[in-house]
Amino acid sequence: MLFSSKSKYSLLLASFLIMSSNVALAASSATEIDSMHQGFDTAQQCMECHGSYQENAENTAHLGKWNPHDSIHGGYVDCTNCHQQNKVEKNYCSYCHDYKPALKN
Amino acid sequence: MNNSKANLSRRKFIKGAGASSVAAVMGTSFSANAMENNPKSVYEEIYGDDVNSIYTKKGTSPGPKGPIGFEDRKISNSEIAKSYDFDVAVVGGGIAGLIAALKAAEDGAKVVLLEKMTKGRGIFECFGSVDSRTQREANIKTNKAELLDEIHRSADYRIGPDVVRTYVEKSGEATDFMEKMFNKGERGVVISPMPLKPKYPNTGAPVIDAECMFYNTPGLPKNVKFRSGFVGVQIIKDLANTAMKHPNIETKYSTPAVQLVTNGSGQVTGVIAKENNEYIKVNTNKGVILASGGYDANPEMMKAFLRPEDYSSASWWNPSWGTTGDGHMMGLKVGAAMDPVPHSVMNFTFGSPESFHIPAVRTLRAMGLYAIVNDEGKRFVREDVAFQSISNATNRQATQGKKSWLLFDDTMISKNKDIFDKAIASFETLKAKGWLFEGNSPRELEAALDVPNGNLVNTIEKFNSFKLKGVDADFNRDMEFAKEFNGKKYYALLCNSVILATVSGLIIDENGRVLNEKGEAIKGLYAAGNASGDFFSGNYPRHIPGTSIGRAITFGYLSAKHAVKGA
Repeated sequence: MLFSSKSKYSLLLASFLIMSSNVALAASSATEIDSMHQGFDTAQQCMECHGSYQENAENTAHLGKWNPHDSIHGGYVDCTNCHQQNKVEKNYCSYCHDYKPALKN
Repeated sequence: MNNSKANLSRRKFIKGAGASSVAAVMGTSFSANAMENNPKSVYEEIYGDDVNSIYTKKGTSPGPKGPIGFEDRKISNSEIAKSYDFDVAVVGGGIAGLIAALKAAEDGAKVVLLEKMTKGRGIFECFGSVDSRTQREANIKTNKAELLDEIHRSADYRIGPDVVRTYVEKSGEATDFMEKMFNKGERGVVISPMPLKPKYPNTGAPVIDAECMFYNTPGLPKNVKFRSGFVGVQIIKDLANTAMKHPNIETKYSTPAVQLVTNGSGQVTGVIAKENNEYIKVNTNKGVILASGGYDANPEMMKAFLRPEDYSSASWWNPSWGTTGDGHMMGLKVGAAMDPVPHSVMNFTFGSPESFHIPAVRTLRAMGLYAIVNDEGKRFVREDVAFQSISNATNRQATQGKKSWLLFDDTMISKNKDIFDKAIASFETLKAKGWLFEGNSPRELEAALDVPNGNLVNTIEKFNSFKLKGVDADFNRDMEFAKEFNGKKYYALLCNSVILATVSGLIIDENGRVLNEKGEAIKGLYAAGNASGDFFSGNYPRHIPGTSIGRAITFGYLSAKHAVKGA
């Protein structure tokens, strides 16, 4: 987002990632997962491994009306709206709501 | 996602990124972006060779991406898994599509409603209407000529006379039909006239009494007054439920329409859609009604048809992301005429960088009282104009990298203690995000905002002197509705332009029939709502009551009426 107060942090994070990628084959499993996801940038690629929109909606069905994969506003939507590779970059629900999946109703 | 991790195939990773056999993994599959590996954009190619390029500086469209249904390729008969026969096919299950489907069904037609998403888009709490039953009974006399004049003026006279005149003449009839459908429904939705707020926003335009609302529906939560979207979701739910139960309607959700079918003479005779991952062909003998909405969830299309300043610094509000312009593209593909580019966007002010400022903040009395300044602490627009105008001025500041801030003090928040306390509590979240700054004096706020020395203090002093004199010498704001700054706390809240929809589309006539470039109706093709055009230019005129949803209801109704029974 243009006015993201996080931009400074993302720069920091980016430089951290660049630095850490120089650490050959870091043992950290997080980094391994990160590198596994390198180059997977489109919804079609996500679904190659993570299954269809519907399957993802079923996997998070326990979240009830807060199920981000089956929005009460209608789905299904492109993975990249919220996810960037293996990270949740944005939670669009929280842009308008207090996102509280624990509260089933 | 934990459950699905177990299903991951590591082999896929070994294959490396770039492998994609899309259809195999998608239950309901949508077309891959037709622009990939394509030197020319599908949005340019849709005009054939009859295209001219207007060069604008590149913008980025940071909004959400919805799944595109439209396919720009020849789909052969051998690819069609099933065929269906209906009188009317309606593409889209939002307000225009539901009203169209219900009207056609009530008039005896066999209807299929194709909705790409799992649910149709919600609407809002009110809509434009003239002389409906509830307005007549309340003895409301809308000045039709004045309303028409204001619609034309707001479009800078770039529109034809027929569609808007028909809206003014027929919206009451369409509203009464909708009321009948609510009476059939289970929610007990009540339509009543929307009380006028005289002279606010004070745009210099006449205040026109031509709006109805759903607020008097029993059982809505008490605080729903400030949650327009919440009301709209209920309305759509009720109409969709009525449509699903209607003996003449077959509803197909998660079924994107991808292409229109025409015969040798150019008449639209059906529509191809995707159901359970297979192509289906719906043959229609009375018409296809495009009610697919705008294209705010299609970043590439936004870039193709809108001014870059309208979207580059905006946030988005619409949470229903089926609006990818499928109807626009399907219509253009069969020779429809469309509103000229640049298209109009519906943009409001009072946006956060993410969407719309949260409810507690929306209750600010300051919404009508604030002053607006840029990063330099200077005003740049009269703050009492309609949403779209402030939005445009805000976007102009953003083109030079300047943010916009709403200035207010603690005397402007609310006279109601409960609302005041809620607002103050919500400020903590806003401060944490860097969207709100405060100070015990204009000077302190100036320092907190990092505004050049003296600018904010001067702006506030000047504003107060304008209030005292009753004249805003800089922007001609009506100072009667302004308040001087004299509180104990001063605030600056980040203010974004926020996009709700796009509102330009296919050119239609007074019956909703889509026209070609020669102004002839394309037989068997209709458009309604944000897929249709010839109503707005420049921006959506927020100061005229409810024309967007009013138009959707009216032309959903009229399209169906004409498709089934002729003129």
